[in-house]
Amino acid sequence: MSDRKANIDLVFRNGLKEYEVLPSAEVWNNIKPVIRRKSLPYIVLRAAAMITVVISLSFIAYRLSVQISSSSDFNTIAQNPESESSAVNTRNELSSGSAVTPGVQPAIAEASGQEMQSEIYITPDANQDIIRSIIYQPEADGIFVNERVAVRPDFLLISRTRVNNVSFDDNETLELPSIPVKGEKERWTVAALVSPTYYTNFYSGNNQVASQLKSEEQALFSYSGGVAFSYKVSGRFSVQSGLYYSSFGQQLSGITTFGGFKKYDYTKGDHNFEVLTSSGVVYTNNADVYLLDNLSDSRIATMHTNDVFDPAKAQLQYVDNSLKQNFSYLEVPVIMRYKFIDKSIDFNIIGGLSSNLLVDNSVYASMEGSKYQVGKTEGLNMITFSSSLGLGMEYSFTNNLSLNLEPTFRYFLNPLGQMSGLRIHPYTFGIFSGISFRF
Amino acid sequence: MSEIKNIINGCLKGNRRDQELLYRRHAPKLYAVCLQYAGNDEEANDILQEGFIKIFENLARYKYEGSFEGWIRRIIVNTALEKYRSKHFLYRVDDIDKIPELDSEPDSEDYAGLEATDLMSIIRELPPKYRMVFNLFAIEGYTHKEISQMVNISEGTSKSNLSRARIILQRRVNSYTGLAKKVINE
Repeated sequence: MSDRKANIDLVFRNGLKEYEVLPSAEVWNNIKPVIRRKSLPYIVLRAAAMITVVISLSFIAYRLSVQISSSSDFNTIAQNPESESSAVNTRNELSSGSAVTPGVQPAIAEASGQEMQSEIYITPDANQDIIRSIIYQPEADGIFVNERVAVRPDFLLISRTRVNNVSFDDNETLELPSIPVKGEKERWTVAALVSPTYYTNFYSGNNQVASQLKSEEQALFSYSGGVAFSYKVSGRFSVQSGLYYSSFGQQLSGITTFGGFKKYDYTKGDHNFEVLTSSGVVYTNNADVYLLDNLSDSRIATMHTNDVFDPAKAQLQYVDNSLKQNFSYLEVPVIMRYKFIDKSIDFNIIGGLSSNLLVDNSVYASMEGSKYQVGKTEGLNMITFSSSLGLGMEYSFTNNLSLNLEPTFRYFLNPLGQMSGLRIHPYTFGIFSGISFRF
Repeated sequence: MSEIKNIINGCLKGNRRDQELLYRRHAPKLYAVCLQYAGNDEEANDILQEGFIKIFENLARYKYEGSFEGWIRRIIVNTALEKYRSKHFLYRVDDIDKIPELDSEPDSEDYAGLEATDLMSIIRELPPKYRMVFNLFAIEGYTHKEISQMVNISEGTSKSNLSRARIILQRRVNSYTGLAKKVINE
């Protein structure tokens, strides 16, 4: 007798092949928190990583802008030191409070007889290169004498000496170099920006219904982009407007879509199925669609419920196990920008209001990458208003061309659709990036 | 296939509904497998629970090669095996006694009246070491060499355990069918 052909084996193998036993509900209740706990840190970590990257980029950009800016400021007003000046001399002169500062304009030399506050250093080295510069900072109420000592080609020491209580002779004038103001003449800017956005919403009103609906809905990949124009009102304030196109939506989980229902549809009417969502009621407009809710019995309203029609027995074609609800808007914003750091990388606070015009509203199922039209969401407001708040970073390549990065939070002031007892306010977060041109 | 693909993708994104859908769809069949391997219902619950946690954790490794049902069944069987090993490692005995012959060559026709629940009851009455080898060989289709590595016994022990399991099962099946025939005749 061959082992493999043992009859008793076949009896058990065939007899138990299709055997099913329903496990107790306790098993799933024990699994659920474990897998939720495992999936949650993944999402949290991703969010934390994203925030860290944004903060790090901002910090690096800020540091870079400060360095570049300081460097360029010094270069603007640096003077060549006299050949006989040395680091040792300089230290002696400063510490003794004497009025001799080689290479400095006469007005400053006289002023240095006043109280001086000196910081630092100096390494005596015959080969070191000293560059002396004078900075006049009206807002800091003082004149600074800076000395930059290149000890090695890759190592630079900077000394700054502040000269307080400066008094000038009436006959003498301080010649200060004029610093060109960046973008003084260019008041207009045009920018092209695009952003992937994260869409979600929160609710007020009948919480139980909203909470149930929300638990069965997930945000879809969204994006936004367009052209912006801004006008510089003053050195730091700008007003911006433009035209953006935004597309966002959500996935309705647990609703299975089948195709091929048309031949079984003997009823007259506009639609066969109504699906309750947090953004409004979806009406099917495709008679070939059959919808089956696997998770809840309160979302779908239809005459063709599963107990009177079985899509499996009718051999309908399976399409997808979730519905996608999509909304597209044309957005006209009015935004104020305030530049709070004006360096080679500028930082702006951005805030304003937008009016959003609904241009597309569709509900579909996905089948191997293509869309299978199901219907539309009814009761959506044609115009909604949103507020936005963001941080703008702008790096100038040239005098006219800049690279922009703008993490922006947008909150809808009124709901997308009218639902009795429910007020659902969507909000989005996106990081806009693009190029702007000043003229 | 695209339906299960969508559910798997949803699970990978941490979608709770898809996770529940996957569980509800496959749990009844897998629970039957757990009962087949476990000594009692509590142990079967544990195997199903641990097995499903492993399924969700390792879902990204499923490459859509071969059937998904087969893949998740293997995970459950491996979980049952781990459970068995942790409980029965002390009982490792390579006992190759004289293997008794089967009472007679059975005919599957005789067992046509047996329900799956009866078969399950019979298989669960087997001592654990016989049950494990019988399940792995007769139901899952592993060879004695593979079983010897999986259960940590010699190939000879695997063969003898299988033979003993078959004898016990045949006697139990005969008593079930004999009783049934007696009832019908009366």
